[in-house]
Amino acid sequence: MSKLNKEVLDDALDKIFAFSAGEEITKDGETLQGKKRNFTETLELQVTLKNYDPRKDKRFAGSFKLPTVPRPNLKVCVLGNDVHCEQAKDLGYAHMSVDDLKKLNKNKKLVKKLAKKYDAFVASQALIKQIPRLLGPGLNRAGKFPTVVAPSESLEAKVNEVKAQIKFQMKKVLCLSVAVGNVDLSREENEINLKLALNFLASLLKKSWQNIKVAYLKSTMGPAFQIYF
Amino acid sequence: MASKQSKAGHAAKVDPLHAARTQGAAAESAKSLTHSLPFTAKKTNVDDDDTMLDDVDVNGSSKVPHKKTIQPAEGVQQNGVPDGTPMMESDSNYHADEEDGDELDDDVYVMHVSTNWDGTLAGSWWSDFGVRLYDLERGLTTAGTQVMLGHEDRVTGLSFGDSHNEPHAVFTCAEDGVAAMWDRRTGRMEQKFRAPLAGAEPVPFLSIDVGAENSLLAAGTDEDEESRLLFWDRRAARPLGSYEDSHYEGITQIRFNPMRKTELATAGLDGLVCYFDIRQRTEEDALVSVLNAESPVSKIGFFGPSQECLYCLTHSETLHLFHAQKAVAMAEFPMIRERLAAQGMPSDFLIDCAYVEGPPGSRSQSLLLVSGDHTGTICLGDVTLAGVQKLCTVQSNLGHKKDVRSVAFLRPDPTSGVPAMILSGGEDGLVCEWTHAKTKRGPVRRGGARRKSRR
Repeated sequence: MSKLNKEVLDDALDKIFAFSAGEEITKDGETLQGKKRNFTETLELQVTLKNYDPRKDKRFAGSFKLPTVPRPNLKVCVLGNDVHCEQAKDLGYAHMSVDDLKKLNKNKKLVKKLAKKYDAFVASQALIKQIPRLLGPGLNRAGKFPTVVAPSESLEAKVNEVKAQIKFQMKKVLCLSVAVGNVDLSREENEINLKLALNFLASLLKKSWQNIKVAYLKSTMGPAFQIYF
Repeated sequence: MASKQSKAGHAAKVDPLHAARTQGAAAESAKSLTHSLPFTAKKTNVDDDDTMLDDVDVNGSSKVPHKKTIQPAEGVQQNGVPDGTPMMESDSNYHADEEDGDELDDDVYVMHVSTNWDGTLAGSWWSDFGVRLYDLERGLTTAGTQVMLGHEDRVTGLSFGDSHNEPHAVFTCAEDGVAAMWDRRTGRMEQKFRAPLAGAEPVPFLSIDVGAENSLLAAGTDEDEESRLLFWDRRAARPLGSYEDSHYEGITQIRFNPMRKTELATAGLDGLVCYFDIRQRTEEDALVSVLNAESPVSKIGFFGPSQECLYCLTHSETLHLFHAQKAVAMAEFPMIRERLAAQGMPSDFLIDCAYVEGPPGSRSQSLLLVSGDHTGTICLGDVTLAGVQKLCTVQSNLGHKKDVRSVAFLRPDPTSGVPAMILSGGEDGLVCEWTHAKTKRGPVRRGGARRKSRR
């Protein structure tokens, strides 16, 4: 299904891992000295489209859930009922109850501060309905309106799902980039994430892989490697 | 009774580039290119394709080629389309199309079709920034077509309003920063609305709807991280205010609730669907519920016996069903394309949903999902909370050859109970009208018709 050349991809992944481990690699005949960073470098997929007219073709935007969380450090806050707050405590997640939210008193500044503090929110089904009443549109404004976790769903699975979700949106230029993994994940996990993400992107395009001009893979600080031509 | 004779489908082409190229063929076949394709909105009323394909009804009187009165948009006007160029679609044209292949990539797309409240008027917007209206009582004919040019950028929304007292009013919005009221009698923009406090750059609009007996106009902007929902007193052309916090990214859809006219749903690229009670004074109080589709929303609409539910399609090709007031997700279909494909429904993408009335004796109303593929086939499915079940395929040699971008359902004839006709518009620059066939055969043969199209 995937149209990626295995050798090219293997080579790119080898070099990305080597570079971020501080080893020396060769790219296009040049020798590059890698450097181990003090943070976990993210693996980023960059895609350029072709034969696509953003003026009239369908908007190319969406979200996709990867099997493995590419950015494990995302901070998620649980806005929970008693049960979910209890679970969140056990799992070590940040959490707030209805009463905590009521204390914000719809104060715009406090809501804004809350929105800033976390990357994403999940909320119990019972609470989601009250969010507009309790907090006003502040979380909407920040682009962080919570994802619902139903009573039957596992809180842990939901939080991971939210973390593993990648969003992409193409505006006027035909390029986009999404995080698909990181250098602390295993090679296989990165590879699976990458392939699924690319396959999903291709499935939304009219001519599938023929609409993809090039794809590059790079780590946060490393050089970009072309993986699709 | 909607017989094949009286309600045969028409396919009308208004693409001057294409018409110029295929003029000869089209002129020769001065007879009409009608076709009618069966579709049914009800499982209880299944019809067959094959009969219809043979049934090219020559009912020329009702179909007149498009001619110069239908002006092409500025962008393509220079292509020297002679006056009176027939722009009808014909069988022979179609074969030429197929051979041309990619050459048609630059053609004008039909981006949207919809109908007014009583199904007498259809509107479409095209990628050439033009808006075209069809008087459905006259069919998709030259005489029944009105082209309205005036927008200078991509048109993004069209509404007929909700007032029966203003049958001539049509509302559109575009990325040129203009939301306009057109008068069909003059064919011109009679009123223009622009976002207040706009700087040098126009603020693009992505959506429009008009409610409260055409007195309240709402339009959604596309501004990164600060998209607004703007309101005007339409009659006095006076800005009334805006909701600025509820959406983070561009507002792609606005729908007044058809039954509770002071309630309004919006949806945006931020993946949120917001439901407002606009009687309240402030945005905070007006925001009744927020639903998270978690992916940029392309279409929403009301359904349910009292219009209390919302369907929502996303650009990631997912379908969500929400209860608007209770803020509850009733059903989610994340991998719906795969599930449709497993039932033999063409499902490269989802086109729209529609809440339609069925023939007497069947379930009175149902929610339909329309999906399509890149060869122009569209397919109807019956949506329930448990899933989507295939109803029928709408396809013909005379129909679309490329992605169908939009469909509109017309209300059924109340006496015959024949389900609504469908209008469809696609990337091949065609607007097609599909009628229900009254032949009765098993649904199995429909598969055969579909295969034919994939040859």
